[in-house]
Amino acid sequence: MRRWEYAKPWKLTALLLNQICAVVLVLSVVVCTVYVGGSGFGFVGKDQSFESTGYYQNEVLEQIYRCVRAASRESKFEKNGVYDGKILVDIEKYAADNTIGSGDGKDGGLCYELTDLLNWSLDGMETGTLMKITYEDGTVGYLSKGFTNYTEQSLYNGDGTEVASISTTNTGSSSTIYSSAGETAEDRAENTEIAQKQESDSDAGYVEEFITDGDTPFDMMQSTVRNVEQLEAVEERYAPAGYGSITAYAEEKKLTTAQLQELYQDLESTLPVIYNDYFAYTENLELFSPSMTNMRYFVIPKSVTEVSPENFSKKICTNMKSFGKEKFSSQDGLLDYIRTSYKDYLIYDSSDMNYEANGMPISLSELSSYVKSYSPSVEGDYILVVAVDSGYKASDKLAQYKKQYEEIAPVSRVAVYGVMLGAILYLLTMVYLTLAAGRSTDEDGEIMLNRFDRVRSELAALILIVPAWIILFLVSIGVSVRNLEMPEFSMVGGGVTFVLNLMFLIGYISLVRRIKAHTLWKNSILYQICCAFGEVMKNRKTTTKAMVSYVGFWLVNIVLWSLREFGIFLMVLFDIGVGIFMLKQAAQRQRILDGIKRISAGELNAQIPMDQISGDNRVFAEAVNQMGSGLSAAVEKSVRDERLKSDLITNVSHDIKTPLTSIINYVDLLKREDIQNERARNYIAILEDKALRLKHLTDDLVEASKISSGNVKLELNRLNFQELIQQTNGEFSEKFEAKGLQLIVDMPEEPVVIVADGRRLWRVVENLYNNTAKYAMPNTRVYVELTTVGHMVRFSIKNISEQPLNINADELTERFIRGDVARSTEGSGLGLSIARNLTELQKGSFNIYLDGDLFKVTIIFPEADSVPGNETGQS
Amino acid sequence: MNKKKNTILVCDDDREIVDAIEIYLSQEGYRILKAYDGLQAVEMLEHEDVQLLLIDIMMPKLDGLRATLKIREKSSIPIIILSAKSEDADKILGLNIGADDYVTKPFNPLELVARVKSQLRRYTKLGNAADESQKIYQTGGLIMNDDLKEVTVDGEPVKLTPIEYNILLLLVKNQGKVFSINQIYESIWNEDAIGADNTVAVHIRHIREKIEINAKEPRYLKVVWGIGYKVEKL
Repeated sequence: MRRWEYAKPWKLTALLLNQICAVVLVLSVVVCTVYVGGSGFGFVGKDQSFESTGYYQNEVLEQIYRCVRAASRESKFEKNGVYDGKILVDIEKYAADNTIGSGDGKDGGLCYELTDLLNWSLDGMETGTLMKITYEDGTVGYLSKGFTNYTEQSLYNGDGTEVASISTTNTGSSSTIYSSAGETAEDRAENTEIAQKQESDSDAGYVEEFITDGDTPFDMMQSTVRNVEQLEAVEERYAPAGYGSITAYAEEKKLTTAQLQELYQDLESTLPVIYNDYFAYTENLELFSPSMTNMRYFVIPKSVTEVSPENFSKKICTNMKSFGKEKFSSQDGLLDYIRTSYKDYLIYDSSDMNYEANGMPISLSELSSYVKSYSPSVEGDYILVVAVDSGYKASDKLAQYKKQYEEIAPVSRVAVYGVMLGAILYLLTMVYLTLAAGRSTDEDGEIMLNRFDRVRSELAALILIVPAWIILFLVSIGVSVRNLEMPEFSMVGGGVTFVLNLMFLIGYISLVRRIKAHTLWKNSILYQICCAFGEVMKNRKTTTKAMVSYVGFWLVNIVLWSLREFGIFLMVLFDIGVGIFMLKQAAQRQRILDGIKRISAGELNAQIPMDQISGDNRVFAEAVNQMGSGLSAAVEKSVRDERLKSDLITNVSHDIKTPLTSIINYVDLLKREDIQNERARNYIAILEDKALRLKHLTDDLVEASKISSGNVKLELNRLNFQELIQQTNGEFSEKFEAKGLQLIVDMPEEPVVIVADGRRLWRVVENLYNNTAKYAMPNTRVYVELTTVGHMVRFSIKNISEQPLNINADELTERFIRGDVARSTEGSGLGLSIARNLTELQKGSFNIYLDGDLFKVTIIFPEADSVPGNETGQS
Repeated sequence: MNKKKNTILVCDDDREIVDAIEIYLSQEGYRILKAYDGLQAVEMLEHEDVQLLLIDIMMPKLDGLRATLKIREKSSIPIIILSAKSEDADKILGLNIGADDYVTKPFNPLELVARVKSQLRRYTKLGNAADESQKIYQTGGLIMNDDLKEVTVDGEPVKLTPIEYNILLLLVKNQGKVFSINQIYESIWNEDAIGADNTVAVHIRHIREKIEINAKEPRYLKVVWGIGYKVEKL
């Protein structure tokens, strides 16, 4: 079946679609976050106006505050609509709430002309200490000292005329004594030399004098001075309205020292502020001209009832020229006009602290508290109006935003959908491209790899990661940038995104293909390094490996330790991991060890389970398993061969026996015939002898092969070896006697119990006795011994061989090998072999000892517990 | 021979063996029938009056074991298996399926004749020998008359020395029980046994030679190696 969905055109389409989606997505995200997000325009619905956007609201709020400040300043510095430098500023009021008071000084506070204050502020203000000296006679004098930057010290009369300049020579400190009005300097300072200089200028007069020590300037005047107080003062460079100086004002108003101090403080705080205020005012004149701003404000005193173009700017503090030709006979009329001609406006009435707002993003409390700190300098109550000219004719920020808004609004609406649609389609195409990567239209086609897919994985990963990172980086920059130029942004952003996304896709699809083709890891540089390292390690000795691993372990630990906190955390994880790894290794080794033990214990089929065994241990375990199964196979094969051989011998022996039966029978019949010929009778005897020997041979052969192939079922029982030997002795007594053999038996009287198969053990002993009966030198002694040594039972039989034993002891038990190869008496030569094998089958040991003609066989069995066992049921 | 002519069926696929057996048994005065496979033997038994069957195991058509099984369904005549198979397992199997004796090839002709005689005597004569009034001990064909101090095996009298007689009596009285050499010694000689003496063992051997057909494969007096001797309860 053809996989049409993986055809080339589809893939190309998906690729193109994905690219478009990426571009749309990136542009949309930037547009959305810039214009739609929190401080932007907010989500731009279809019917939403510019005025409801965040941009507008934020800007208008800012502008409202500025308008209030502008109105406040304008009302302070203008009289009848124009700036008036002669306005008198009540510094106490100004310091209190930024108002100038009535503006004509009639309310009696300390006032200065606006121009004076501005000049003073421009020239610079100097502060210093002022001594208020109260004399015994009640008069008061002032002495100023230490004004910075000024060496001249002035002595003022109460009315501002210069009185005297005092110079005290004995103290060395410099000070200036101000005498109050009506006193002459000579009256107060007999002991001081007074330099006097009168100047016609009423504003300022200077009396210079130098006193060297400022601490005790008045010691010499102890008799006349009652009291001296210090004040923080401002050097007076301009005189207040109506007075020569502040001190004169204080004297006249009978101000206390504290009140005077307050006046100085007010002056000190007013001077810098008023200049700033003035500066802001002049700026506002320009900034708030109707051609510069779309904001409109005016403050109209409640007392003004009629508004016409003529009195407009005189009565009203505003940035507007007029309301055209409109005339209003009442304030309500004016307000109605405002309400109808402006969409967004704000009307604040100071009399009842009420306000009326339309589309203005400000609450009454916010507004009133702000108005309190920037209240207009208007007599009585007033109405404050702030409005937005929705024509946006002036090119201020609002107009700029409006223009942007109109440009963006449709785009951003599209952008929101662009984000959603772009994201969905992007994901869908990604999924398709992921599925389709490397597939062809063939159903079972292999993963196709192009040349790029064979580039090292890490390089491909760079092509994947770097563009993705750049895109994200650019988007984050784009998001934080304001005032994007849409067309340029679209062109550049779109183009860059297109290129970067294409690179990303190439990297990504290649990655997917690599994963599908399982070449990701194999094709990586890291893999190569690992392989090289692994190859190096593989050919090292185990000790080298262990050493390198150990050094590596420490290096990792040290590096991680030096990384502090997080590094130590990683180090702990790493160490735990190493610990687990080592435990696993140990467990695996234990498993291998168990396997080896089982195999060495004879369980040759034991296999080490290979699951969960890895690395070197796996090689190890495999080798052990192979060894085990090799051994097992070899043993099985040999057992099978042995059994086969035994079966063969058994079967052959059956076939031999049948004719042998006839031979024996007919030889016997022949024997019964009356044959006179002596030679013939001799022949028959030979025949009989050989036939019987053949019978023995076959019997022994079968038995020997059975026993050596382990094809024997043992019936193990506790039995008395001593009894068995006695029985055997009985059985053989005649046979031995016939050959003149004297049997000498040495064995304990008490039972010697072993675990064995009685009949088989008898067969062993019988064979040994038979052997002796056959091959022992006639008329010699045969020694039989049974001893218990430790827990072992030892049986031995010794005799002197009739023939020289020129043969290896081991060869005696080999099949068909006998003491004398040339000997042709009875026996098959299998007797000892059978005896040995039967003994060993019963877990006994069988040894032949040859020394000259001495032939000795020793059989050793472990002694059984002395508890009598089952002594019946033998068969 | 003073008895009526017993008929013996000899069955073996080896004709020479059958002929040899015929010669031996004819000399003893038996009538011989010959068969060469199991089927033939079974058929002949149906038509002839046969007192004993000698049968080989490995035969064509019907082997000896199957034939024995088949014959045992109808007849209880003594069956002696003659076989080249000399394993214990073969013997046990043969005896278990109903054979009375098992002789391995190559056999001693005289032994075979003795066994045939023994089986026939038991088959034809036993059952009427016991006299209640007398002290008679019996196992299989072995009968001891303690009043007359007489021992017969399958009706044939056996001559034993007094010690041999006492030993055999002890064992026959306690059939199935195993006596060690020391126990036998103590109960016969009435004195403690002196170790390393093979007197008892030699006596036992002599008894066996007298009462058994083949002393190496005793039927009555068996050696329990390493434990003692016993007379099988038959």
